[in-house]
Amino acid sequence: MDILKVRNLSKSFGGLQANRDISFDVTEGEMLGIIGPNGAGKTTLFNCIAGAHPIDSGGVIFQGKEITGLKSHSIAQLGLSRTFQIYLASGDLSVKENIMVGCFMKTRSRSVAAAEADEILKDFQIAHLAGHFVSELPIASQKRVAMATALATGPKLLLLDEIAAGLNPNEVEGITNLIRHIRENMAVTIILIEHVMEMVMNLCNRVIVLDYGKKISEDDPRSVIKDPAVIKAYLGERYARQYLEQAKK
Amino acid sequence: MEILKKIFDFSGSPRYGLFATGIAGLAFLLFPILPHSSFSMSTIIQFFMFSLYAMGWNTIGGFGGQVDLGQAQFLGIGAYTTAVMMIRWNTPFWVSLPVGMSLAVAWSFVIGYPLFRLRGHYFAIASIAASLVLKDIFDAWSFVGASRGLEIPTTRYSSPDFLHLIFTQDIYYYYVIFVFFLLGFFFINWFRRSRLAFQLRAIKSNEEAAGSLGINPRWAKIKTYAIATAFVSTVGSFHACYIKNIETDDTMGLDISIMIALMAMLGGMGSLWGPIIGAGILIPLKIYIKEWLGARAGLVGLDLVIYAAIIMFISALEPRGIWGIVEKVRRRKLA
Amino acid sequence: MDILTGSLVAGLLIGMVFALVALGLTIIFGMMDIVNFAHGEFLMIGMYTALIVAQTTGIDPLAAIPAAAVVGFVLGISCYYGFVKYLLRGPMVAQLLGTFGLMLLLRNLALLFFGSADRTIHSGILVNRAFDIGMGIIIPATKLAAAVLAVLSFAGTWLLMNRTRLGRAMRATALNRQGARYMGIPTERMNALAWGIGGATVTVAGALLVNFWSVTPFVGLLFTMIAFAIVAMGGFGSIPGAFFAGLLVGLITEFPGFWDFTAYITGSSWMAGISMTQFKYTGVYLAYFLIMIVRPRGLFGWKS
Repeated sequence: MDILKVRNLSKSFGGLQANRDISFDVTEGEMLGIIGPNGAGKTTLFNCIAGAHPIDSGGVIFQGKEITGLKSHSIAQLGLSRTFQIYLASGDLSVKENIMVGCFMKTRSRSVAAAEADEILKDFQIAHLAGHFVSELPIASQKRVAMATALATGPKLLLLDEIAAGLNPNEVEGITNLIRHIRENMAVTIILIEHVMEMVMNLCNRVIVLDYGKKISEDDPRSVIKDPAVIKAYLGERYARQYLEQAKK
Repeated sequence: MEILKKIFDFSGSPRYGLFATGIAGLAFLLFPILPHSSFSMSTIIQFFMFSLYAMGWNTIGGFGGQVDLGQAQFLGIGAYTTAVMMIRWNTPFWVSLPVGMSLAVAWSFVIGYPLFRLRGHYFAIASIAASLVLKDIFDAWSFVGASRGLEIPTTRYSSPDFLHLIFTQDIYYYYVIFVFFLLGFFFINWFRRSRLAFQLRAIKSNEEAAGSLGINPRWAKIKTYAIATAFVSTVGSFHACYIKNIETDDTMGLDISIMIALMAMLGGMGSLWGPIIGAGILIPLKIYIKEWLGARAGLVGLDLVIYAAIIMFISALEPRGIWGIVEKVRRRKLA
Repeated sequence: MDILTGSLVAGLLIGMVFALVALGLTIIFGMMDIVNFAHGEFLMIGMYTALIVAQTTGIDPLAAIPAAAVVGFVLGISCYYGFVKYLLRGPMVAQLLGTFGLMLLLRNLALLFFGSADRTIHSGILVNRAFDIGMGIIIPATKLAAAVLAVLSFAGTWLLMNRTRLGRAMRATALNRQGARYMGIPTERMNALAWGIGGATVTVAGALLVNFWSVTPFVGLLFTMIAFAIVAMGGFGSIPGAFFAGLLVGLITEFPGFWDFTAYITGSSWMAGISMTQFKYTGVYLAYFLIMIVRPRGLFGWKS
């Protein structure tokens, strides 16, 4: 079953075309990676799907329902969650309270929300951070909190935006394991935007490549990195040609 | 059941604080029976009133982060509804109170829906604009006495009249507003741990991220606005019965709106105690300064000069208010 | 017919003065995102300055304008260095309440020194003179002079902001503070200058108004609200926006005339029965509210 269908999605900001006619489907339970050079329109795509930006043309269908044009809170309530590149900036909410905000989407009761938050804290191995303010934490922990909060809403589809950005190799491994754990235990379909290639290789069964707002490739990870169009996008025409000639030899 | 638990949940506060509050509560309870001046009693009555105004404001202004400078319009709606209903139809206070509250809340939805498209300065000024428009309308409307205002004819009632809340002795007003104060206090204690308060804090942190967690920011703010206006109009209704003489300048002017916001800010926005502390400092201050200075012929305005200087001082030096300082100290002790 | 043209002309003329009133506010806001509640009090001080200078030295009130400008400039800069500078560090609510405190302070200091009695100008070369421009419209010379001088002051300030090096430095600071610092622009001084120029323009507006508006310490609040409305409608930070919005607001305050005119031509008696004069300024607040809802950026704004 396709949990998400994106149809001919286009979005521009003033004169800049950020997303051009993008289409793809996401099967329930899979792990889809979205890669591409900086400025390719990956985050914009997430924003459009999640309802943070109005879409110029095209449509998004989530779990068989048309969600184009819905506001982000409505889409979240339908079961689509996301993380942000720059996380909740304020020092006002503690880690546990942050997660409780997510829990409150499904319950009105504070004690239920608190109990659920405790569960999630344990699950993500951040229970020791419950009382701290998010802004005081090191980056790797902040990322865990971000994921925990997004998952507290109990989504069916989770969009992770560069969750590994700023992490050292150890931390990347930790996050990779965490994502695997989530996928196995929470019946969540995940779409990842990533620059850290090893994560994409290790986790994703399928990868989409964006460049200048367009989808230029869609395949399993090993095939995608061999695709000449993708190499050209990352290395530029000249170096791509050199690289491919080298590879042939 | 859980609601009852939340109303009395003071787990965040230190023991000595609760003890001190208990003592203070007892003192307030016994105050009218002990020897006192009528001046000090009316000061305390005003303290309770403004604490309630500020507590109401604090829901949308402090917890919600939207600085509203037009709350006086809801005070006016509450006061005028009670006054008009009492003058024309002898309506008991306990009937005109909910009527006034419903009108105030209805009005809050009417202007709240467009108003909460705005944030920051724009919202603040728009709230002023809305309240001035309403004030101008009241100023021209003969049904509410236009600019002359209304006067409740006390001769019609024989004190103590609990149905219409007309008393000749302040002690009755004292206990009535004290009860309201306690109700308001416990309500806010519940409110600050409610789902809505969490949503507001998330919105204040990062409105976009809050949306991605399923929170509808505009609707959360509108709901909170309704709560704030309910508080303010309730005390407004009381104001009508207590002061008995109401006019738009006293009840709906910008100065009152600002004073309400100021008390919450001085005491500490977004906290339970902040508005109470703020009212506790500013009301006696304003009244006593006026008493010592304002009346003298050559010095009209000096009291407000001092008051203004204090406002300027606070806003420049400790904008997070007194409760903010308390929290800072406590956190440093824990660290 | 003359009600209509009369109202139109009156509205445009007073609108030009309103535009000058709002100019200072938009410059200050464009520079540092602070909403100055005390703006109208500066105007009030300008009025008293012109009044007192004229009455003590016997010179024509129009000649007192430079005095008002100097007072406004000094006042603006002192307020910045003495108080506003510290407000900028705090949250927005502290800034709102801080400038509100400043407003109370200035208003009550004026009350203390000048008393609450209404004062008006009685002498001067323009008083009691009027121009008849045909179609039955008579314009008092004072109002015409105020409008003309307001436009000149406005134009002068515009030239300052757009055609001088100083003006460019100020606009650079307004657009990108950090970047301006890298360029070697002393941004603190730019802030103070914004307050100085903002203060001077609004005190000049006060000096212009004093010829036909009675002076009390309480006159400030109305003009603060008018200035807010104009700046919001024209776009916070936009100088041309302030001009056109000023004209618009001027016309709005003349809407009782338009109302009466419509009552007259439609022969509607219920319309004629309501006197809209008491709602002159309500219309301004209402217009502000509506524009903010529909187009928060204002007509020309670049800051939202």
